[in-house]
Amino acid sequence: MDFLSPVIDGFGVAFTPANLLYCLLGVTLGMLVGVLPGLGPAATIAVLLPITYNIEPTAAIIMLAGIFYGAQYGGTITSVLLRLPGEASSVVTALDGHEMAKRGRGGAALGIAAIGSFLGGTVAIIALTLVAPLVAEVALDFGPAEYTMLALLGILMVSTLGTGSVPKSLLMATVGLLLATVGQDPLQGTARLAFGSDELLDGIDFVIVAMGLFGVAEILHNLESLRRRSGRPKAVGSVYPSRTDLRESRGAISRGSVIGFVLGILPGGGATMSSMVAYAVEKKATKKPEEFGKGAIQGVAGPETANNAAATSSFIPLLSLGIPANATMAVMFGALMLQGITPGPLLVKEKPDLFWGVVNSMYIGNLLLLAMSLPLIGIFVRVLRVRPAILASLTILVTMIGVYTVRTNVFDMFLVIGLGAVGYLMKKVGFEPGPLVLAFVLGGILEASFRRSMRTFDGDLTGFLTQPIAASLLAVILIVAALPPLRALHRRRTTKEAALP
Amino acid sequence: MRVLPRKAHGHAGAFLTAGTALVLAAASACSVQGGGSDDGGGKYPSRAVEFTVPTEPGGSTDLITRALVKSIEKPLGGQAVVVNKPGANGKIAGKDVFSSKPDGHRVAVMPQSLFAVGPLVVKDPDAIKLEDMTFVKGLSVEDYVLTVPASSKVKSLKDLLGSKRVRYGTTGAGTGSQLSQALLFGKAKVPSTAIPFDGGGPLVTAVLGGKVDVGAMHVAEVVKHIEAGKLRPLVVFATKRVEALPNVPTATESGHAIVVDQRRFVAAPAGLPDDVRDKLAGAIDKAVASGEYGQVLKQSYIGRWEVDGTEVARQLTKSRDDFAAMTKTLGIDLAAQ
Amino acid sequence: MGAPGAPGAPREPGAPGGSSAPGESAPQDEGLARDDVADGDEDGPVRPSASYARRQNVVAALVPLVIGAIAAVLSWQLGVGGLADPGPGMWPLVVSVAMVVFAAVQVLRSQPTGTEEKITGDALIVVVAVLSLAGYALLFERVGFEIPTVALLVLWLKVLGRESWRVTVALSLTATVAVYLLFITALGVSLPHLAHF
Repeated sequence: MDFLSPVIDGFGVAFTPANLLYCLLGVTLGMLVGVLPGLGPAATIAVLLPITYNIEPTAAIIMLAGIFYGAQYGGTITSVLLRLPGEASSVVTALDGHEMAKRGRGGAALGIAAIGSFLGGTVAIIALTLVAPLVAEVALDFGPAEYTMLALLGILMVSTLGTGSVPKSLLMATVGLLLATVGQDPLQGTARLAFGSDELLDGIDFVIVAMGLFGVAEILHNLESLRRRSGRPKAVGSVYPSRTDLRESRGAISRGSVIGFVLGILPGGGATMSSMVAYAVEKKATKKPEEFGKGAIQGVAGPETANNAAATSSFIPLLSLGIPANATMAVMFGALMLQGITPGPLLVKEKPDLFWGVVNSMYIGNLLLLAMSLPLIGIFVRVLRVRPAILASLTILVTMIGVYTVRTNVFDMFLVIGLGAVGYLMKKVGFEPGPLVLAFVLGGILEASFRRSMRTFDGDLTGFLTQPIAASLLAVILIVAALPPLRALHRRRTTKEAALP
Repeated sequence: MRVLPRKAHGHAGAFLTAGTALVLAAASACSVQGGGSDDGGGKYPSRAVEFTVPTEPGGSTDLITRALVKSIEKPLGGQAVVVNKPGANGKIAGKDVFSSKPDGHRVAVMPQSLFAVGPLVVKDPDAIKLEDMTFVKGLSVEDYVLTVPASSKVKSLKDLLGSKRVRYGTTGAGTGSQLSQALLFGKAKVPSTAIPFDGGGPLVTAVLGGKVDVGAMHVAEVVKHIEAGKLRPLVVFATKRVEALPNVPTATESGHAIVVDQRRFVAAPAGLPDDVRDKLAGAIDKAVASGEYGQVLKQSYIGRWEVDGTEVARQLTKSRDDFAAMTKTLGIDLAAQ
Repeated sequence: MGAPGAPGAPREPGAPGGSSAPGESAPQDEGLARDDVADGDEDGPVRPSASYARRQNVVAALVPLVIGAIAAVLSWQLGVGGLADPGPGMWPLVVSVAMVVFAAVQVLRSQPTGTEEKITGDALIVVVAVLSLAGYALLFERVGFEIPTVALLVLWLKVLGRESWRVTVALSLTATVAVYLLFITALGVSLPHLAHF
């Protein structure tokens, strides 16, 4: 049990009153700032970074990890209550979470998200403690070929996310893919579909697309019925998830933990993929798939558990390899450097107290998040009691300013307005933004990885088969793609046979 | 664009309905924008000085700027803040800052590559010109090191250049990482394919995982991996050996005179008054001398390049012309890669 | 949700008449039923007639079809390259061709699905809202955020939302100050602003 002693020492570090306080402060600040649209976890950490300048490294990182969790949950709050997903991993939460809120079950959605996040996070930390050094290397096995297959799999899943028809979802997905190509070619830097605009040259930020098509479109759509409505606030319903809710989410939470942990280790897109995969899995696992998109609690529990588990496991490559897995971890990396610590493969050996102190503070961070969010849900859902006109006005204001802060650019404000108008029209004609937004995220990964693979394989498509992981993923893709048509065929045949005699 | 308090306030009372408000504000915008000087220009800084970083938070430019800003407030005698404005390899931030009023309240930390390597990749008639800037101060220099995975059969530069074919990873199009390797393999006439990644982190991951044969990245990004024995350094593209990697020869020592580095400097809009520039440069001098800043540089293996504005201009011109000449002689077209 | 009424019942194609089909709005308001029973029908979106919905669907599918076609041409001009080195235009070309194909499928399958909403005179309010936001963005960096923010809130609260003057004035001023304190003072985010403290 020798290896456990630094772990236990780590608990000693995490439980010092000062560190507990920093953890609490981090979670609180993160949650408050994370609620502001546009300020996702990465931006929140960057903004709050100066606060940590003058505290010692371990405490600073503990606080930053707290900010990270808090900000993520903050994003969930806006996704559920206002349909404003602030980051890629909470887009799918908006699908069913906001539907639940509309039906007066916003409290239940937020509650299950908090519980799922806590459980997913805790499972991931335990797994991290036990296997971090072993699994870290997996991140290195994922190169261009593997990401190509992973992204393909993701896009295949996107088509199952919508509640409408599959062709409609596919059309929306292609629109998302096309939007993702706007800007510089990822390999050569050639300007594409940018129409000579410098701002477009840099591509469209994901947050802008998500906030435009979800948040702003929702506000515009609600404006229409503003005058016809009595102006009476909506009923909020029960604030907490019921026992039935908990029972129904049990499976979703346990599946979400595993999915999140595994995908979170992969650099780039892990957390987003995990929430999508979790949603798709829940939709397949449930006995009532027709409820998805109309407020199914599993549709909130699964992805929220998964994205928090992924958030935790994305620390693995950073802390054990020194590789930042995503934008948030890149900021963390910078924060560590400012503290005089260069994360690398030797961090665990050189600074065990820092490593384990941070890891163990995550337990506390998760617990504090749960302890803080549950009582606050009652307050959060009151947002829905605010008169629609006031809520719409304040939301649009915070959205516009939040959008500006993403890149300090007024152009993005115009983009979000335009996309909001498009999203409004899409609602009018029954197109859903979900597949579009998620395909948008995956499009960039798919194209860049595919082109890198092709350069590596000298244009030989069979090159994918020479990579074991990529080949296995390809097999999964073929199975997933072939199943529904085969099943349909089988059904048709059996019905025919039944009809014949 | 910053606005004058006095003029716009005059309109505030006229806001009766929202409709007229918008019209009025539009009208006032025109007069405000072209307005005169700020508060008489007596004291600098008269408000917070913005250091614009042309990247997302987290990169090395962001890092050193934050470290700088952390130490500059006292010598400057005023507030200083970091603003991230990423996009188009720094052009978006540059265009924005360098079109603002040259009063020293908005400056940008710009990379050399935008002016020296960028033009070789993309022909942009609208690019930022050296004349658009007042160079305040040089800041840092980062060298590139060529590495292979520890498991690679390649033990030295000679082995590498003896390969039949090289797939090299770069940190992106228009970077020193791409240029240095293109020049190396072009000079040695080794058949090669560039595989651009999305910055240093992803490239390090790819080299560690053996997804590319070789890659060139900043010293800071790989020192820890070299220490841990996961990566093997071959050469550095610097004029002399790098402090952090004393056993690694330079490319020039190995017979390939290729020097490519990344330098960063503080620039203000053209026409910055000399006294403001001197005051700012003086404050930067004091800030970079602080122990904290030095600590960050040391920890992140970033070299100092604290030269004055004239030297910055000279270096930019020189590297731009050198790189252009070298690629031309070798017949390398970076844009086609 | 699990309303015993009609959860998951197939949406009726071509809801009769211009009024909202009860089957549509019922699940929407399930949780609020107790409160909002009186508003019932007016509250939901207006469901169009079958022929209107079909026309709207065709238009909705033609838009991506045309955009896809234009994007395909532009991508082609960027250079497609070969498999060994795909050019910048290859992927956008693949995507835009797929977009054209799926859009064409949508044009052919234009029968109403029940998710369409009629675009009515109420859409005018949306047009006003979008224009006001565009104006806001236009002025944002030119005159600082303060004046446009107050103006935008006054427009949205008073004109679009028909709140009382008292609420409008109080809210728009408070919100502007709050944004200043939160973003500029507390978070140090760089917003263009008039007042310097």
